[in-house]
Order: sequence, then C-alpha cells, then structure tokens
Amino acid sequence: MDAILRSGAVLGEARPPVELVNLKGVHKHYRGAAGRSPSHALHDIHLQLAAGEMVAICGPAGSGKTSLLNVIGMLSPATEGSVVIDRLLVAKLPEQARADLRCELIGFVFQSFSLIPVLTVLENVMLPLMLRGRLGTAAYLTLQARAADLLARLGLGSCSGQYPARLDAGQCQRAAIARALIAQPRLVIADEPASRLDHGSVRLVMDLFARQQREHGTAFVISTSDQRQFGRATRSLQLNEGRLQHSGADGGRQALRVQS
Amino acid sequence: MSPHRLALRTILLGRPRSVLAILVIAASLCVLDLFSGHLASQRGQLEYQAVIGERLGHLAISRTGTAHDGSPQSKAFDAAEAAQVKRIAEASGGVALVLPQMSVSGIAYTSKRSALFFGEGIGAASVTPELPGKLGPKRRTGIALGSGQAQALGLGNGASLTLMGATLDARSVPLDAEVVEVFSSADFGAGARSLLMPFEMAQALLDTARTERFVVYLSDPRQLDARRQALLAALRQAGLRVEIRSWQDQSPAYAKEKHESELSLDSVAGMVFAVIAATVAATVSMNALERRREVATLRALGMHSSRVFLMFSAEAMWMASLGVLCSLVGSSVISWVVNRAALSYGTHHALKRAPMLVELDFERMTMAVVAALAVALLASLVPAFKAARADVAEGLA
Repeated sequence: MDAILRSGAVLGEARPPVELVNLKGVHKHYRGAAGRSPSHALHDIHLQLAAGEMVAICGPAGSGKTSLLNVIGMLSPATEGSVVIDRLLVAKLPEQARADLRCELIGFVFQSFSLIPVLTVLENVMLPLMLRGRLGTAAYLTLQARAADLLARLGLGSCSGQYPARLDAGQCQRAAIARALIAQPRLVIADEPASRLDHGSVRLVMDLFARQQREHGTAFVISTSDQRQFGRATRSLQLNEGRLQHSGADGGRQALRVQS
Repeated sequence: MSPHRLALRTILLGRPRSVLAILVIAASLCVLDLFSGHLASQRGQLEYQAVIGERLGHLAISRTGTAHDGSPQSKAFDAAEAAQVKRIAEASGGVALVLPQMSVSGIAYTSKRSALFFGEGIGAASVTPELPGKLGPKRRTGIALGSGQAQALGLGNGASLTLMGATLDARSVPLDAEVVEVFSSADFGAGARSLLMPFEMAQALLDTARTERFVVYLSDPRQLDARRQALLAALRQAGLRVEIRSWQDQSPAYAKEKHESELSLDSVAGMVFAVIAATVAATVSMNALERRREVATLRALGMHSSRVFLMFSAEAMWMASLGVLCSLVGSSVISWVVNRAALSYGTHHALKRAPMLVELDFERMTMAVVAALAVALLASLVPAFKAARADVAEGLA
C-alpha cells in the first residue's frame, strides 16, 4: 500500500480522514450487443460516505443499484468520473492493489450469496481472512473460534460443518453476511441482504450491522427495497434509471414515498 | 486459502466431469504403459531369438574388415590364431561361453526339390536345451532347418538331403545331411540364417581348417559395451587384428523390428498425449465456465488473478496426477492378469504360438508420467488464463 501512496494515486490532504468513499461525476456505460446502443447504468453520480454511516440505496429493478455497488466495491470501473476509496483514486490502482484493498477494507454480501460450494459454511466465513495469507496455527484457531461465534449469533451454529448445498436460502444468506463481517471491515457493501430472510432474521442481521457500526465504525452501503432496513439507515438514496433522485437523512421514509 | 487446496477440494468433492477426466487420463496412460510393456516383452523375445536362437551370441569376434570387405573365408583365423583368440576370450571377465562359427551358403537339394541356403556352422556346445543340442560331433551329419527352408524343401525331422557348398578354389563339395530339428524362422529377416550345422561340417563344405569368427556369450548381457571394450583391448594387446560386433549390429531383423515397434509406440504415445491434452483443456474450460460466479466471488473477496490462474493450473495438475496414479495401479493389475492368463498369438511361419506377455517398462512409464503432467499443465494454461482474466462484476451478475 505504501508503494501506491508513493505512486501518487492518493488525492490531496484536504479530505477528512473518516471519509471512506467519494464518488464524483461517476458514469457507468455498458457496451451494447452487436448493433445495439450502449446502455447507461449510472449518470453523474456524486456520493460521499463517511465511516460509521449506513446508507440505504433503493430503486426499482434495473435502476443501477448493483452497478453503483460494483463501482464502490471496485468490482467494476467507472466509465467516467472519479472514485476514491479510503483516499485512494481507484482508477490509478493496479488490479492487484484493488484486490488487496478489497480484501483489507470491504466486506461483501452478494445478491446471490456466492458461497464457495467446496468449502464448509465455517470455511466460507473464514475465507476473507484466509485469502490474506497463510495463518499460523494459533491465528487459525482464533479465527475459527471467531467464525463459529459469528455463525452462532446468526443462528447457524449447527450448520458450520455443512456444505452450502445443504442449506436453505435464508441460511446461505446469513452465512454470506457472516462472511462479510468476519474481518471487521471498514466498509460493508450489501446487495439486497435481507431479500431471503424472515422477519426475525432481518432483525437479527440489522442488530448485528448496528453493533458493528457502533463498535468498529463500519460504514454500510445497502441496496434494498425492504422497508424494515430503512429505519436503521442514517441516509437513504433513491436511484432511478441510473440517477440519484433523492438523498435524505430521515431514516428512509421520504425515499420510500418517492419510490411508491 | 491455498489455490492447491481449493483445486483438490474441487476435484474430490464431486465434479463428475473432473472424475471422468481422471479416468480418461488413467485409461490412456494404461494403454500406453501396456503397449510399451508388450513391446518390451517382444523385444526381449527377439533378443533371445537372435542371441540364442540365431546363434549370434552377445559378441562376435572376427578379423578386422571381414564384415564389409572381401570373402570372409579368406580372412578367417588360421588354427593358431583361433586357438589364441579362444584362450584370451575365455580368460576375459564376464564371459560364459566362446564358440567358433563359420558361415556357409550353397544349394540344398533332395530328389524332388532344391533351394539356396544361407547356413551357419556352429560350435558343438549347447547353450539351450532345445537347440542345437541335437547338433554336435556325435551326429556329424545332423542339421537344423529354419521353418521357411524346411517348407521350401518339403522336409521334416528325420528327412535326408544333400548340401553343396563352394570352396575357396571353386570346387564344389557335396555332403549328405539329416534333418534333426526344424526351428522357427518366422521372426527372422530375409538374410537370416536358414540352416544350422555342426562347425566341422561347415569346415568340410568349405574344405578349410580356418575359423571365421567366435561368438561370445556373456554372463551379464547388461555389461555388453564394457565387456566388448575390455575384450577388444585384450585381443589387440596380444597383437591380433580383430573387430568385435554386438548381436544388435549383426541382427537386421532385430533392428527392423525395434525401429518399427518404436514408430508404433511413438504414434500411440502421440495419440495418448493428444487425448490427455484435449481432455484437460476441455475439462478446465468447462469448469471455469461453470464456476464463473465462484471465481468472481474469490476475486471480489481479494484473491489475485494470478492465484486464480494457479488454482486452475493446479486443478489440471491434480487431475493428471490422480490419473497417473490410477494408471499405475491399472497397468500393474492388468499386466499381472495378462501374464497370468498366458495368452498367445500366432505369426506367419511360426511353429508354435508366441506368448503375449507384458513386461512393464518402468523407464518409459516414468517418461510417460512426466510427459502427461507437462501436457496437462500446458493444456490448462489458456483456459486458466481466461478464467483469471474474466470480469468480476459479470461473473457475479
């Protein structure tokens, strides 16, 4: 990371240290199939996100929510505009540095869980930290205990040794959430994290998010159409046809009205 | 999380395609190992045929130049030289037996048929029980006929015939002979000897007391080259102008068979490695395609693309390694069964069926294993590279 800092990928010192994400004039275009015009997923997005914030992004299907999360998560480059994550200009980072930054900084909850089928639930949860490098025996055991504890808190204590194929959708969703939180990341990007959860599980997960936010200052960007999550958000954003139409700090109630 | 561990898990935790690929690799290598083992066995039989059956010995000592220049008879050892050569050769280390030999050709005829023959007068000592044990001083007119020659003359055991050879001064000497043995000449080339007779009979046909060559049988044929050098040095030190040729130098039939079998083996090996390459490339490509989301997840969570590349290459290597392991077990079991079953096959002019044996050739098997692993690695490079470079967001979509 020091090398990246020296290479000039860092923006000026004017940014406050707590600012995690800064998007300026971001556009995202997808190349169209042969003979078709390109589709514009995001138009002129400006967004800042500070540590400890929980931002809910809502919008209808195809409004660009996943594209926005992919850009913030450095999974997909912006076509235009600047994306700064943790004071690093993403466009100037090489692929490996982006992977390292994702590994150290961000926890992901994907829309389709994306658990690795050949790893047990416990190993899936431990995966983000195991990808950082070889662990000593003591560190491995500590990590294992932490993962088991997290799974127990999400009601998956008895499933830790099972493979994902044996779990139902709700259990897979909770396992994916545990995986996103295990490394105590500074930013969690969650795409529809509650879509497959029942009422009780949603409350359990949101409590866990809130605790993480409070204790570790983790910022959350959550794409959702579930009202139950808006009440916990510090800010809500409405995305429509790739444009941010409303931004409020009212717990998401206005955003819901715009959407309806 | 090591890419090797992930790759092994992927294979072991049931991708039927990967298991099928392992079986294809194992079966292909089994075919190659067994074919190569059968050829090794055939070469062993041909070696026996040449050294013992054709009486070429392991080494042949003759005067320098007799093989390529002039009449062999005129350059044969005289009696004094022959005794000296025999004494030195017998005293040389690792030598089991030294026998005199004389080539002779002419016409063999009966009252009804005649045919040209290329014969060999051989020493009386017997090195195998079946042939030429019946030849020797006690049966001075007994000869052994190659099966082709016997067929041409319409003769069998106990039949009589006359042999006529030409002496150095152009006289013809006819001698009566009796067939005491018919031996298989099915695997010999056109120039192979078709008639074996006692050494003294060959000298009588040529009307000479000379010895054309001595054949030497070694106690350990694996030391052929070392023994040849030592013997040559000892004979030259004694002032004898000699050359020593090995049985491979003297047996065009063996050289031809060896060349043809190696050509066949190379063709089979080429096909086997093409099958392995195609299997690995197709399996890794399909696995990469099916696991787009998994790969994208790993990369999203921070796995470097180089490690994704490594993961798919490792998967190919594990597949090949497990295939190799299965092939070694399979080849050993099948060769054991084939050897126990005592299968045999017939060949043209053969008096008895040849045994179908498999002697696993471990040197070639090692080469095949190394080649299979290298081919698998090479075949996985392109699909692994494509998987490593795939778009993460698209994979997650």
